[in-house]
Amino acid sequence: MKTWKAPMSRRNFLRGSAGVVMALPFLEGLVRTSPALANTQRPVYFVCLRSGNGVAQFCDPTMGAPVFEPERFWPFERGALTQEMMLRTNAQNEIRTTGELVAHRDKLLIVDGIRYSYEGRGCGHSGGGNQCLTASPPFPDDDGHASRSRPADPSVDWVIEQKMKPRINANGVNVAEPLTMAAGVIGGFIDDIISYAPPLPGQFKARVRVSERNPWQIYKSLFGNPSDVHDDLMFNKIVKQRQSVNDLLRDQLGDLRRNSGLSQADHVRLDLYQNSIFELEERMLACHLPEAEWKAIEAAGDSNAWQNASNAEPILHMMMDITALAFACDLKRAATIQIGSGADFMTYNTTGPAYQFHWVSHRIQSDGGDGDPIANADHVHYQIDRIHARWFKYLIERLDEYDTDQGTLLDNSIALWTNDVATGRMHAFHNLPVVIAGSGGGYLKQGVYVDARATATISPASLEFPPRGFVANNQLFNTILNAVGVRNDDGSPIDDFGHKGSDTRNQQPGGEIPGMKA
Amino acid sequence: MKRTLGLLAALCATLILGCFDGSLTVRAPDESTSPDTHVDPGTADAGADIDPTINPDFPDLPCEGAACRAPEPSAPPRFTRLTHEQWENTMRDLLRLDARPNLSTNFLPDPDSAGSFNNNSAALDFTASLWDSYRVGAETLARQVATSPEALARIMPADAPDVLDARARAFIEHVGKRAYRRPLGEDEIARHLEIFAMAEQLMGEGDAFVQGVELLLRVFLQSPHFVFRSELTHSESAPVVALNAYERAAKLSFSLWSTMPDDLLFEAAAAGELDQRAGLERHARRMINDARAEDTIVDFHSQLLHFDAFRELAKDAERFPEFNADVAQAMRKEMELFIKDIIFEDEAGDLSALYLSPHSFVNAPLAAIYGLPGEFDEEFKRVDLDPRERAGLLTRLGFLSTHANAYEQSSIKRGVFVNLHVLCNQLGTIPDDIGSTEGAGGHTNRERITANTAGCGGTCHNSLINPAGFAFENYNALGRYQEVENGYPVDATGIFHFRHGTFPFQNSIEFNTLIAQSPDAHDCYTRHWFEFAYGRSPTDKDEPLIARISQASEAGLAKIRDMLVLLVVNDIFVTRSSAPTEETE
Repeated sequence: MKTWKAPMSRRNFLRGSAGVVMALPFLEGLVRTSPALANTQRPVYFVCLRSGNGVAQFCDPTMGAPVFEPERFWPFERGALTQEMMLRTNAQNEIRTTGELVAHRDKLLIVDGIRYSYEGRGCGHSGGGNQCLTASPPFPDDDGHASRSRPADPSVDWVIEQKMKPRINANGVNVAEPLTMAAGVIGGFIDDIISYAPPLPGQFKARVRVSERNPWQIYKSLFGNPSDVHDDLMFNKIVKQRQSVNDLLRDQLGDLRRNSGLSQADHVRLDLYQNSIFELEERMLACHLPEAEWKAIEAAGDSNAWQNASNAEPILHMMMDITALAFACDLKRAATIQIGSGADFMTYNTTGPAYQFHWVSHRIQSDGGDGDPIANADHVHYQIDRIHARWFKYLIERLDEYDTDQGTLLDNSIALWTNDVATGRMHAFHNLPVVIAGSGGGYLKQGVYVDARATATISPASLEFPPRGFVANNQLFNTILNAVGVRNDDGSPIDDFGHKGSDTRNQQPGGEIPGMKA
Repeated sequence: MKRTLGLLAALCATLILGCFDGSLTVRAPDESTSPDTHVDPGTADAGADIDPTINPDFPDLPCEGAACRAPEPSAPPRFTRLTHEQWENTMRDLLRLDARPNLSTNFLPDPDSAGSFNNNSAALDFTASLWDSYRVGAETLARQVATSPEALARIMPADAPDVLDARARAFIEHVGKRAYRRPLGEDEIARHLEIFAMAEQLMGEGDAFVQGVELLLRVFLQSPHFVFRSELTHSESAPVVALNAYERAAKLSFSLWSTMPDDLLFEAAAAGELDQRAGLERHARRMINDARAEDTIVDFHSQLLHFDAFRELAKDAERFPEFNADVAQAMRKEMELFIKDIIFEDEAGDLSALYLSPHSFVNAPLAAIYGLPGEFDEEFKRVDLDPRERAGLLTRLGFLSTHANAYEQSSIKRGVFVNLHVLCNQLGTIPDDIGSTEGAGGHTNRERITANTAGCGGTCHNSLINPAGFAFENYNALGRYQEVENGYPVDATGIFHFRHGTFPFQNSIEFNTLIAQSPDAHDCYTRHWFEFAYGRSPTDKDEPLIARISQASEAGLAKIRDMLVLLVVNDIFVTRSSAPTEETE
């Protein structure tokens, strides 16, 4: 039977005038290194905020767009991100979307010129979402549902968690899983499209990871219920009851494993069950948000407020609070937060007209290709982009609140804001929005807007298939993975993340994007 | 056109006899998990010598295609997590609650990413969050049941002794068997008795039996034996093994009811009834005529027809002021009532009736949209729709309005649905960079769609999607019948390329008739049911069974209820290959 250790005090997490100050546990977390790791670098954390439906950026008929639309997303100029440049306005006195992040310009790295390597094979959103964090081609399901396509390979968040925070169970299986969340309306023709676990043995398509949506459920599964801690006697009793139950469940799992003829995939299913028990028992009960904050999360969970699309913003904020705390406590190394469904169907508060975002991104009153036009849709899209930028800003600020012995948690993180498609109208797969905050422990440049094409190797495939000359997104992830500390088995840097099959548009290893590196 | 159904019983018997031939008629395993139950290896090739001109299950039918082969047992995953639907139903039935506990609304949703249904074993993963939800649910329900004398009495065995230890043992044997869906072995009982004995120390002051029961229920409800559906029967030597009686009972109940076996099934398993073809069929028919099968059938069709779309169905308020959320829900209810009526009440009760019957069930708002004369209120009542305008499921308001835009009908959505889900046609991929139809010329929806898809070639829109969608041009975005659109006559004519031939049609009535008569539709519907009942995508080994049942359906020899019986009373349902697990996606 496991020995129960008294939970650490929440005094370790004191909110000072300048924000939350991390004390001993976090410092320990930073210097502690898993024996399973080949390297001993400080932990670097990765979080991706995914907006859907593309962004309102420049396009014109030469790019296949029906009409010209002006640039509204990217900064006015590449190079240093100055306050003047980020706040510069157009003739309508409007800043670019990325200008919303001006307060954090010194910790930003904005990268354009990136594309997916594979065609969508059906639904643009699903095909884009499949590739967004995997650099792997989408495959429709056996019934031909293009919107249920899946990639062949796991996503970068999965790889980071497995490699950098491995959790090896009693059977020698690495059962580490990243944090996968989504807020806002979920539903429609496509749901979760960002995070993927590798295919089960015998399968060739990766498994989509269903997003956690109830913030209180996420909170409890990571940190435990803080209400339990109030009465030590009661708390310890509850723990012992659960451990007794779990001991028997583990015995039962052992019995099941001893059945002859089980396949590897059958063992994986049992591993997932066992890991679930293990993870909850091992969670760090010392980590908690201030009482007012976790009580707000509890209320949002218990009242089902998280199911109401109008609460998308506070729920997202809660998820970002939880992400920052999970990183600060070194419980997770990787997280994803998906805004809305695979194609975002929420109706945002803009100057209007008020239509659901997916229609706005198509510029017509339809999820498909035919429908009445929506007046001013490109400007509504721009306003929605700015809302998303402000949500990303909130994430940046939460990560920046935690101090460490070497800068803030943000400085030791890579927070990526991206999209599964570049533009909504065409479902374009090139010039994907890539906005990064945090240097990943000093690995990445800060305070600049760079063109990936200026320094990266362009794969022959990218030169062959139009639109030509963009950098494959596996090179973005090669760079990020190296920043986080993931290495090949032989210790060499990652240079070929993503799919390595024989698809005609297969990407080349490509290496990193040198222009992103400090 | 159809043969008399009088032959049905005999033909079903023939099918079943064909399935359970020779030594493949499995023997009743003992009451343990029977880890090595097996059948004669020779029976794995039982169909090798069949006459290739005869459908072995329906001798009166000519043998066609895959039906001429013998089905082969597969090796599906040994462990499949319960879906949330199954978890809710099983909790209700295990604890003998009046209603489902409705706790799974807070669970991490079941993934919707493999196949057509949410019970595909390949996609049902586990996470810490979900397990925590199970734990919370288990602790909540264990407390509720253990501390309520009435609730506890419902699940206690009738003859439980009063002595504490003996009473505990009786509880473990009785409830444990129902929770794990098989009798517990002596070692297991002893281990559970240990937990029961620990309760006094772990739970604090209180009634020792109640505390022990609460702790035991926590174990039962979180156990891998409870949350996984398992097929553990295996042989290292025989190529095919017969599932033991309890595995059969559980497989039957989860396939037909989406829940655990009832008391009669447990009794049948213990008595060896499920090892005989007659017993298996008797219980399958009993189950299909039970209200729980109605829920399963509604669940199947709600997933197949995407009833989720009703939740957020929106129509333009100016064009359709009569539409609101209540109307959307009424449309859904109409679909459910119609489907249940066809399957459980209709004299024909077959797939053709589902696609062709002109009757339906409407309340006042729906009657107005259908243009029905007479008085209606909020209650739904059966009506006969104009057979010149309406024929079957695909002409009901619910299908037509969910496969439409807010303003007008969507020929593409309707056409894609018919191809993918009614006929199981493979469609080519759509372009990544779709354009807008803005500025496209045309007086009617059909003209605009034709113009916009003109460059798409013969492989997608022009040969498959557009004709299937245009067949329903007589129905606007709400499903209301129209002969004129924007002042121009509606054109719902077309030519469709079925796999067995190319046929012209004048309107949706003729098109639905072609569908109902086409082998494609019967094959497709059977295929969907296979996937739902087996919780996995069919493989080539399953094609003979699907072909035999679909051909019987097409010939008018099998009602939909019969199709379900045929799906579960056969070799491949009650056996498994001893080969390594085959993972299908």
